[in-house]
Amino acid sequence: MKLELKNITHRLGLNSFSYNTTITNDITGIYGPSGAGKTTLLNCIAGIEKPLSGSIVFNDKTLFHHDEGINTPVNKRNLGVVFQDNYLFPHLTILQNLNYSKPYIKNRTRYIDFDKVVSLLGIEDLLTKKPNQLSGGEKQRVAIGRTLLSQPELLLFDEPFSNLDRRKRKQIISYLLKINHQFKIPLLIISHDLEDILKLTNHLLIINNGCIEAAGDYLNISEEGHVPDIICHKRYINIFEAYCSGFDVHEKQVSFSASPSSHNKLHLSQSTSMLQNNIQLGQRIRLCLHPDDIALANNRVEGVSIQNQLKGRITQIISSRGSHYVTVDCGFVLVAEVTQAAVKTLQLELGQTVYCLIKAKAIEVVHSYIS
Amino acid sequence: MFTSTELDIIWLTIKVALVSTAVSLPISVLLGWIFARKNITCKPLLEGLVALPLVAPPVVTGYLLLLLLGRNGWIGRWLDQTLDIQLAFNFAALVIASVVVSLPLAVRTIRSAFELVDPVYEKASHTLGASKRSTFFRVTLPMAMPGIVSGMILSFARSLGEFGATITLAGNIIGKTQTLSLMVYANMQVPDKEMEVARLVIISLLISLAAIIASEYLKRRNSYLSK
Repeated sequence: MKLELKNITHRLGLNSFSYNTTITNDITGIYGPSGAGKTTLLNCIAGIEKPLSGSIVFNDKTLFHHDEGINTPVNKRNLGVVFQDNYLFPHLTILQNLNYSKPYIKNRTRYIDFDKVVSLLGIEDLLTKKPNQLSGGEKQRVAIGRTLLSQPELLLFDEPFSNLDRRKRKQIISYLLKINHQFKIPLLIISHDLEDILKLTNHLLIINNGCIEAAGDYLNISEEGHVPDIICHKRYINIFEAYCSGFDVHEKQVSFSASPSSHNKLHLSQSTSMLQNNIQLGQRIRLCLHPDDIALANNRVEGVSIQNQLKGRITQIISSRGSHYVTVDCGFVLVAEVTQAAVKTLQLELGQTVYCLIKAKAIEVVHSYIS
Repeated sequence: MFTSTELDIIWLTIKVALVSTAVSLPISVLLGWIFARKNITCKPLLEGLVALPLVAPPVVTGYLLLLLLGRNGWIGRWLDQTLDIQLAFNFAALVIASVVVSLPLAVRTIRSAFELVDPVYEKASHTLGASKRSTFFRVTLPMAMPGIVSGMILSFARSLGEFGATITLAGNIIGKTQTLSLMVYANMQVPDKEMEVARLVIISLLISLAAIIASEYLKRRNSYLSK
């Protein structure tokens, strides 16, 4: 997919916005503080707002071109939008909500099957109910389903997690990854929560004060040294992918490595919620780990309960606002947060070999990809 | 229980109220929607014009209508001479007077109902592929339905009791344009007709009560649908 926004400008009251970027990734997260202009960007792409200048081209189809007078109406853009408050039509049943777009999709090239959507989102039992009989998470799933069934070429999400608790967020993240994987639809997700976005993707568009402050891979943005201020205010989060490389039936553990040849292995308990459903050898999973859950040691430590001790080399030490972030390449690139005293005591420096000590419980499995 | 004259008058009154409600329905839905959703230049003028019968004395409204639609009126004369249509002192006059007087009530209620429909629902409908027209009929209108029903009931009830504009435009012709309210008034002028007046008053109250009960029932049914 390729979404090009060239010199888009817009004005709402006293706020002005300008966007200039090209999005090519399957999943892109749009991150920024409240009022930064994330929703305005989404509205411009969807056609809900008409920009003052510039052009928007999606997969070689011009959706908007100010100078050429092109402005494809919202209902002809073929882009699906899932709104923050889901906006299910209250006078219709869930089934009628899901089938709402049926009369309008005759000419669309994509075909997503009704039964597949309903079973993927687990909403089979809700079809005869009315939206007011559903919980927040259920409503969100139905809204996603309704948008999917309009056979869109791109899915836009406006703060899909804002009204959900932690458990429901995790569930929706997993659904979004499944949708992207199963239906091959690119996703554009707006959130003011960096952790939620990073659980979905490393590709970020960082918006602040009405313009795009940075774009690209999260690790690159962070490593380039000019980490945007808004990211610095948040804590860094390790998001990485690993492959299932073995099972220990006696210890009820599953091992993961960064690549099939890597010696460094992470061991997770089989009881971890996402691993319960028959994980297979070679299966890819997405993991999340907070930097302060990683301890560093100069040597392997014996006689501790921590089972995961990954040997690696320090590739970077960043000091920011009183915190010290040490990047260690141990197959996975992990960032550990340590104190000034620890940097001194361990005499940490670039190129040094260290061990990353990680408690299995601290690792969160965000998603397991279907192979 | 009722005399045949009374039955005729009850039937005429209900018929006028029903027809005028049916006539004002599309007009008030259109105006309510325009006032709630559109930014047209002459909106304040149009709003004022529609609301006028609510504040102006009904007799004045009736008189203005007579000036406009009477046989010698600006529009009435033309209609009479070219199309042979008369709009004063007949059933049409009863309906017109009722529509004009009840329209502001219906438009106000329906306008509020449209304003209560969050425009994001309409945006959501557009992103799902629906055109503006389709969205209006599948989302906006059904969601505003409880308010539209209330507006129609109000309009119906207002028509039942309409007096001032009606007597001016349609007259008080027994067997032709005499409605319940007009008959109550006519009988009040005649000595020894207190019993008839009392009967008519009770009938009026019963019809009004039935309209209120129907309104409550429909409102509950519709609000259940939309929540």
